[in-house]
Amino acid sequence: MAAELVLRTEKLAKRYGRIQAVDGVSLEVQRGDIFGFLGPNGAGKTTTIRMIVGLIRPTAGRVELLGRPMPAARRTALARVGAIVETPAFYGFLSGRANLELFAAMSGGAPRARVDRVLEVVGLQGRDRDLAGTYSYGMRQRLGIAQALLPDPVLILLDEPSLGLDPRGMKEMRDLILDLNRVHGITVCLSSHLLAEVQQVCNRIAILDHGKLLYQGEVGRLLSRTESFRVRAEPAEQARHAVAGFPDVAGVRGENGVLVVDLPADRVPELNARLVAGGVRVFEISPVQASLEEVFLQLTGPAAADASAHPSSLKTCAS
Amino acid sequence: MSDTPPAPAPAAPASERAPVPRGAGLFRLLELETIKLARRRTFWAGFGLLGVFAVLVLVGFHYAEFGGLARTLRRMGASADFKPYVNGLLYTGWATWLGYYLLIPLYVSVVFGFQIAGEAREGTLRTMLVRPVWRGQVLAAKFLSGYLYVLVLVVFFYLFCLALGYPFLGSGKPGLVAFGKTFFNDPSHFPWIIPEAKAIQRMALGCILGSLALAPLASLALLLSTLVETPVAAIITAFSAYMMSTLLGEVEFFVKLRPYLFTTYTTFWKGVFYPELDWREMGRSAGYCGLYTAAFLAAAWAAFRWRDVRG
Ligand SMILES: Nc1ncnc2c1ncn2[C@@H]1O[C@H](COP(=O)(O)OP(=O)(O)O)[C@@H](O)[C@H]1O
Ligand SMILES: [Mg+2]
Repeated sequence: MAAELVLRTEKLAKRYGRIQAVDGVSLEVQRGDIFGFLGPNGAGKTTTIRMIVGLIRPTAGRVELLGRPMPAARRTALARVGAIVETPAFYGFLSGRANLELFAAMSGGAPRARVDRVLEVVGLQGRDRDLAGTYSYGMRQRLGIAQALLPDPVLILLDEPSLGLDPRGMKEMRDLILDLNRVHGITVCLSSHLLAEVQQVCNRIAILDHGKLLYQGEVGRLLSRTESFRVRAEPAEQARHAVAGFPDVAGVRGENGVLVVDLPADRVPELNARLVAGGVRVFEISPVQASLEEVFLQLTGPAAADASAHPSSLKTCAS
Repeated sequence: MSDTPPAPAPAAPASERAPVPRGAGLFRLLELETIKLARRRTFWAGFGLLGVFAVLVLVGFHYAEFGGLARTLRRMGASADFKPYVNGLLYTGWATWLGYYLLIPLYVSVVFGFQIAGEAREGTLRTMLVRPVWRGQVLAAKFLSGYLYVLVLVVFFYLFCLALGYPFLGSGKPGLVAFGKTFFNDPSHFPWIIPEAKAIQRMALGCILGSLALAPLASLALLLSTLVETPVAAIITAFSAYMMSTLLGEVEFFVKLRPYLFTTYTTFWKGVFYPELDWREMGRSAGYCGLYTAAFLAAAWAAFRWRDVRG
């Protein structure tokens, strides 16, 4: 059964003069997702979000938001979408609450209880009468999310929600996002250049670099594509020798007396047998899950030069 | 924190949600824009600055030589004593005349030049435009709220001048000496004293017509505000355009340019201080003002509709 798509972009592209900011990005966000939009600074995340919400016009490609074409049906689509684009901006000369009321009024109004509720959800109650201009960075991010929550959204788009937050603020932001998704049933699409953040909260991700989509799919699937094993055996030198001579081993690295061996999982028993037969005492062979960071650097780093020669191998779209 | 990604929660069924709300319409947007404007410091600075200006003109009036006025009056055989004519009415007429020349256009440039570019700079434009509102209505609300401000500013200026002029310079009797080009170019033109009650009516008319005459500049500033990324650029360009157009219009050898300069048509309101109201001439100029305004607003709408909100 096909999951309901709340957001779909098709070969979206944006060119600023000579800069191709976004280049053929096709995204699919399903209802219920916490979708991570990952990429280094300047990758084109904000530009993509701007096109999704109709702030800028794509040079090419299409956007469907809640099943409606953007920007043609922007009024109906945006009525049920909350968004923060770039850092949340507010009127510094109005209180946090007055800002919320103002933006709520633009969406057709929100009862007082709803404003109270979103202030509570983001933990700003008690500070809502202060001028927004006096808010800290973290408070502005929270007010931004409160603003995005006002229209009782089906989907919220958050552009780098933990940018500029301290570790504690980041943890609170993660918890808030998980809560919005699990308790309030809101589909969340967030952009980030922080791998840890995405790995901890998102179930599906897209990786963007230089405006191009490098990967889209489940986080788990991306991580399990690399098959590495920790091998702890003695004597170390003899073990290394035996491993290096074993067919199908793609690479061996030594890390404080432990070998990290890249090889297909179904060859592990044979490797073990070979080691034991060679008189090596095997203490441990265990799978290493690559961190998202490793995969990310693999995809976007200088090593990606040869990987980009086979871009199809990087795009495993979960369906 | 666990490394396993969380299982997505089932979304709440659509029936549990409130019906899709309709975004704000024009009147609501106008209300919101007016609130925003009224809460900004620039808004009040306009009143302060005009107040200070009115006081300065009053001081000037107190020490001024009215030799020219006295001579003219004597030549007209109206009265040997010109003093009663240097009254609150004449002061108000002069102060507003001068205010309309420089300060009020400056404030119009500031308010309208800020409307779009200012919010783009602050980043609040993107917050606004991801709400389900029509850009055309946002633009219209911004124009109308700015206009409301200008209207209030102008009315305040007139009332403030009257309130200053009457106690310090005496009441409006025996009336307002009509001024403007008729007074200087054709002193034989009668009647040249506008009785007090009529002069007050004329000033009320001056408020309305004077505000209408600011529409071309206001819409030009709004157009520039939709085109540039920084409010200062819009404000300076709009005000410079106004100054250049005014100055070129006053230089003799550019007389052929005059019909094409928008400021040629924005001074028609001064007709309220002429001895007789020339409705035809004022109507013609007001029509041109309307044309310029419509053209600038149409251009502003076209620009804003397609504008990439990058700020
Ligand atoms: N208004 C603009 N004019 C020109 N180039 C831009 C503009 N906005 C973004 N870019 C360029 O587009 C690319 C993507 O930017 P952006 O979407 O902001 O990246 P991210 O949000 O992933 O950090 C960058 O190279 C940036 O310099
Ligand atoms: Mg960005």
